[in-house]
Amino acid sequence: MNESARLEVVGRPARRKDAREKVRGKAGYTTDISLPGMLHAKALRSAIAHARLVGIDASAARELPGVHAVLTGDGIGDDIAPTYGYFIKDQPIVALDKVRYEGDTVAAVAAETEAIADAALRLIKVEYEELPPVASIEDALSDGAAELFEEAPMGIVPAYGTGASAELRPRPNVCYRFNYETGSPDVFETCDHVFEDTFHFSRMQHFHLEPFAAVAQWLDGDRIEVSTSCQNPFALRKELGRVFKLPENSISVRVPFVGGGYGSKNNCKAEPIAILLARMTGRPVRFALTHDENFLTNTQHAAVLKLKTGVMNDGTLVARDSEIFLDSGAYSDASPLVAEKAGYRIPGPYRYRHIRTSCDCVMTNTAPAGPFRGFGGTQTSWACESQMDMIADRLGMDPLEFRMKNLIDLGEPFVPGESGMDSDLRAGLELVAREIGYHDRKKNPVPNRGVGLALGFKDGGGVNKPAQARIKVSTFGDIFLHCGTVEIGQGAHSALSAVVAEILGAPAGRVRYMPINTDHTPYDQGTNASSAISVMGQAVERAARSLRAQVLDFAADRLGAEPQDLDLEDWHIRKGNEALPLAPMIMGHFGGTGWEFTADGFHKAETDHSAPLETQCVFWELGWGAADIEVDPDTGLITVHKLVVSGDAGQAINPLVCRGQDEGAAIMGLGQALFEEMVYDGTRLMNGDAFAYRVPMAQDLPAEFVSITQEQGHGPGPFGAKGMGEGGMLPVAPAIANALFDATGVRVAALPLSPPRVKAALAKNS
Amino acid sequence: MSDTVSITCTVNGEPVAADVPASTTLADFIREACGLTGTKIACGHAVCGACTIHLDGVPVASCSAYAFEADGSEIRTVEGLEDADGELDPVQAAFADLSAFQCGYCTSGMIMLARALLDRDPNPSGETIRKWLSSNICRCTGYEMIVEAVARAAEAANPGTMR
Amino acid sequence: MSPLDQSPNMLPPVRQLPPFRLFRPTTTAEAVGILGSEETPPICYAGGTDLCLSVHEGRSVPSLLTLNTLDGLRGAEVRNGTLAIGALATFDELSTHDQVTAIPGLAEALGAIANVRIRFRATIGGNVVARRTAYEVPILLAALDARLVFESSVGRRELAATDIWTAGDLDRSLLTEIEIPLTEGLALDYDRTLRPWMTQAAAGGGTERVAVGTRFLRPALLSGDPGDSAETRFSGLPGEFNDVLLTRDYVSGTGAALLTRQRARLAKG
Ligand SMILES: Cc1cc2nc3c(=O)[nH]c(=O)nc-3n(C[C@H](O)[C@H](O)[C@H](O)COP(=O)(O)OP(=O)(O)OC[C@H]3O[C@@H](n4cnc5c(N)ncnc54)[C@H](O)[C@@H]3O)c2cc1C
Ligand code: FES
Ligand code: FES
Repeated sequence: MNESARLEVVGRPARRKDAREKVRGKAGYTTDISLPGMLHAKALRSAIAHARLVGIDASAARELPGVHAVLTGDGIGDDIAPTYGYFIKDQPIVALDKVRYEGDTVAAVAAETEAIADAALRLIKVEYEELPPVASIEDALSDGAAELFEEAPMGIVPAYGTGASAELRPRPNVCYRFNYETGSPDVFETCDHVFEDTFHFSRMQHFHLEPFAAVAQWLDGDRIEVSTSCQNPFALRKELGRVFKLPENSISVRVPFVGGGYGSKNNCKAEPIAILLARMTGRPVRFALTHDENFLTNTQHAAVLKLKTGVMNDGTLVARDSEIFLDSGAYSDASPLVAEKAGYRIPGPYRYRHIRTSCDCVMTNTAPAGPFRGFGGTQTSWACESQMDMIADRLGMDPLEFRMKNLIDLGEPFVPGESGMDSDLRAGLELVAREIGYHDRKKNPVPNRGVGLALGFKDGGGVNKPAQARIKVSTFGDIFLHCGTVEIGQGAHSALSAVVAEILGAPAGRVRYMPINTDHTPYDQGTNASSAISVMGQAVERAARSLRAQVLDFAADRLGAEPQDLDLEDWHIRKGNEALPLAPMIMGHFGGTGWEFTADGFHKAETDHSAPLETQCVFWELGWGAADIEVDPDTGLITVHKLVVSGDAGQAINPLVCRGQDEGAAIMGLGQALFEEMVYDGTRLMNGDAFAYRVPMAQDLPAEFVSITQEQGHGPGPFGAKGMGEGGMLPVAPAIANALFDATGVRVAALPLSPPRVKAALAKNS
Repeated sequence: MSDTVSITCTVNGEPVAADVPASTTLADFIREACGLTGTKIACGHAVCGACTIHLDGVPVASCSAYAFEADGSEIRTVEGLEDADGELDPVQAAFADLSAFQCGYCTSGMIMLARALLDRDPNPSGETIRKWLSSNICRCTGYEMIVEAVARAAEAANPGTMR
Repeated sequence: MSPLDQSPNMLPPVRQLPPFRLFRPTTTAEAVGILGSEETPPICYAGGTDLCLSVHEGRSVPSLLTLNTLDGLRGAEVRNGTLAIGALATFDELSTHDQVTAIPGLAEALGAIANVRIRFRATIGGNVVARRTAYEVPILLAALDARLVFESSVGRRELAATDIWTAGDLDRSLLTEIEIPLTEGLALDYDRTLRPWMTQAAAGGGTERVAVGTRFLRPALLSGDPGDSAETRFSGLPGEFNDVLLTRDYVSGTGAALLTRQRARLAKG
């Protein structure tokens, strides 16, 4: 059956399910929750980057009228595991013995109003003994550098497959190192050229508009109920269970609409403090950070990437050896996972005979870095795609031709043991090259104007992500979809509902995506890694197909027909020319009371030791990009005349939503390329608020901005769909840097490509 | 001089009278005293525009204005755009139809900003739309689809007259 | 959060102020009287677009004096060879005000500051009194040789716009007017294409006055004979004109290049 020929719901530019709520201001977010008796929490932070905590005196704050509790490290008892983290449990709920960055949480207050909580914070006295600060990767790795952790915190290394390994704390100030190797390094000897280049990657803030926020209460003194702005409620529940030493059925995590995350809203953020203060006060507690505090809570990873690439005269890539250093900030957060991905993705989607990489998570006295759209792939695409153009130039080859020669074929494994490439990489590259006018670019050259290409690459769908879904349909055909994918803006609730509607032959409006509550919602590992459609979509698809089969079997029994002769259409059974309503059939059979059909679906990529990351990649996420830019040599200012990005949706469930994902990601990439950056002066963040930190605005859109959603049809998801959401960000910065080289012959290997940096590079060259 | 102020105003056409502390921001007044949580607070200091409402027709960041300023004024929020039958305003309809939102946290403010533009200039050029929309931040969409939605809303209200 | 906070603790940005007293004067004299007589001077409130940032940064507001109930201090007027601008005039108002055209280029410059939403509320006076290096009006006013007129209960005080940074405590003063002498042929060119790294105002007519602003540095004023080369003009840039985003070398080289363009635009009129 050629399914896409007869799709009714999937593939249409329909209104999203959340459209009416969101355009009318009716969508509920965690920050909108208000419970009777609710208190408000605020946190005191350290203004010193690195210090031993000598003492805290919170007595005056406790006595302030309206204050209900003050939480400090010395108030945390043995009934609580005081630190959390992903692989490494190093981040305290509030500082215990040390503070490790400017902004580290020292104490928290719960009070009747935010204003009283603010006033109470001013009364807390903290005594610090300052320690030497560690500001950067270079600082942290230098001889005699102060150590953020004198002893290794508790941590684990997960099982890896062929060629991959990791170690905890391989050296001081490095909390985790990921390694990967395949093929023999001897092939370097056979190379005509070996090129070594170093790239620097700047650090952005996620800048989600809804801050980190949680509203917590204790029920009957021993059960936690927390509503939170969070991307992975089940992983959070598990961590909260460990911290609060509670069984998971005593913790209910609820997630309403989430006002943006871009990676940051994974794992513990506002929740532990809200929960602890709720326990101390016996009242519901709301802890909503201010937007400025987001900058102090989670960031992207700055990075240094050293690439050594062996290549033949004819442009055949042979070997790549990479060393990556991620600035992880003061706590490990998701750094080990990002290191794993950065280390794995650094070769790019090209064929080599030998790959070796190591990726270190370097601890510094700056805000903790964590997951960020692209998850290490933005860093590696920046370095890899910049170096591709550099090598092409050194070999006297055209950068497009050089890439075409080395790209992995459709179906070819990325590395031994991996799944095959599920997009035609050359077709995508040729598409954006044509759109930007790459082939004609030398016909009428304009001084200081140039064109560049890049191909962003990451493995998508996440590693070890089991996903479960449940569908119920009532007697009258009302459909309940239960699954844990969080609606964070990506349109997942609409897309997953569309898959159900399509399979059950129902109008999209019949499906309701039920509120997420870990007590009832089937298990999901998290809304990240562009996994909603590619992983959860498969679970939902299975549940829907199983439910459909149940209904057809039921009707076949009633009608004395064979199920394959029946079809399901808007809760009617289609049998030849007849359309028989299901409701009376169900009522008749169940004695007039009614009934619900229920079906579950599950998906997880199989464990596979031959795959380096223990499971084969679910799908490959690509972002093809091209830029046409002009640089003003007098000022160093880059103007992007045209930006083209393209992703492969496999099959677009909703083309408008796919377009939005690529465009949103691309403009984030544009900010990173040109100006957006957390500026540190030593360990002090100089632009940690919305006014000082510049994000792209509508005025920053390039004169021409083209996004093309490809639908190559090779994805693992329902109807051939692949995930989207991150790919569009990956190629933008390297495409612009490559265009700058095309325009001027000058290579800038650090971000952002700000006027002062570009002008300095131009001056050095002339 | 006083530390409590009496406010008499209309909110989305409904008369409202309240006594609030002088330090109450307009955003808190709208969200807490009036219970209208469609107005979002993000940055809290006039930068992002998520909290944009109309104060006597002028688009204002309500996080950075005080409730006392609304005395004798008309406040309009996102909740006041649809008509009595629940029919969406053309701006809302265009945002919904063209998916000019993702997480939705900027959406109320963007819609109010766009509404203020169209109230002044029913036929804005693309450049004017971009200029106006550059007042508010959307981190999700990359803006292009929002610009298109505002153009569509103008077009819907004035068929055939798009510049 | 304020990077200027010198205490060992960092307080979270304040969203909700503790209760404060509110003054709503209707005349300048009344406002000046309150500023002079209250034990702790009230904080003035104009458009509020900067005040909210400083509250966020932890500024305490014992009481607030709203200027929006005042009946004057708006608009602009050419009188006795000067352009007098009311401190409470908004950017929106000024960008379309016919009197502002007395200085070619000024309305355009004011109409480019911030964004549409902010320009409806933000006042020119608030931009100056806020004394933030990121704000642009002090750059324009430096190039235009403007004077600031303050009223307080002890009388009227005039200040060169360039002295705002070193004027000390202004808590009990009300900025009422900004006065720009209309010298022969005065015109302004303001280049903000490089914002937030640097922006540059150049005023021609008589002595050439060039003001350069950056994100973190107080504006530098370079003036002299319009016949000087652009490079000569920038040789006067202070020695330590560096911040975390740019170097003195960048500013002087780029500033000179911008000035050459600005001169050409001013010559074209
Ligand atoms: C999103 C955003 C973007 C911006 N972009 C720019 C930009 O591009 N360029 C730029 O230059 N600026 C920019 N600004 C700053 C903006 O222009 C200023 O905040 C504004 O001009 C201040 O005026 P206000 O009336 O709002 O002042 P208020 O916030 O009311 O007051 C500011 C300060 O001045 C005092 N004050 C105000 N008026 C008087 C008076 N008459 N006498 C004595 N004291 C007074 C107040 O007490 C307060 O301390 C931006 C601000 C925001 C929020
Ligand atoms: S929340 Fe009011 S402008 Fe950002
Ligand atoms: S839709 Fe998320 S910020 Fe605009």
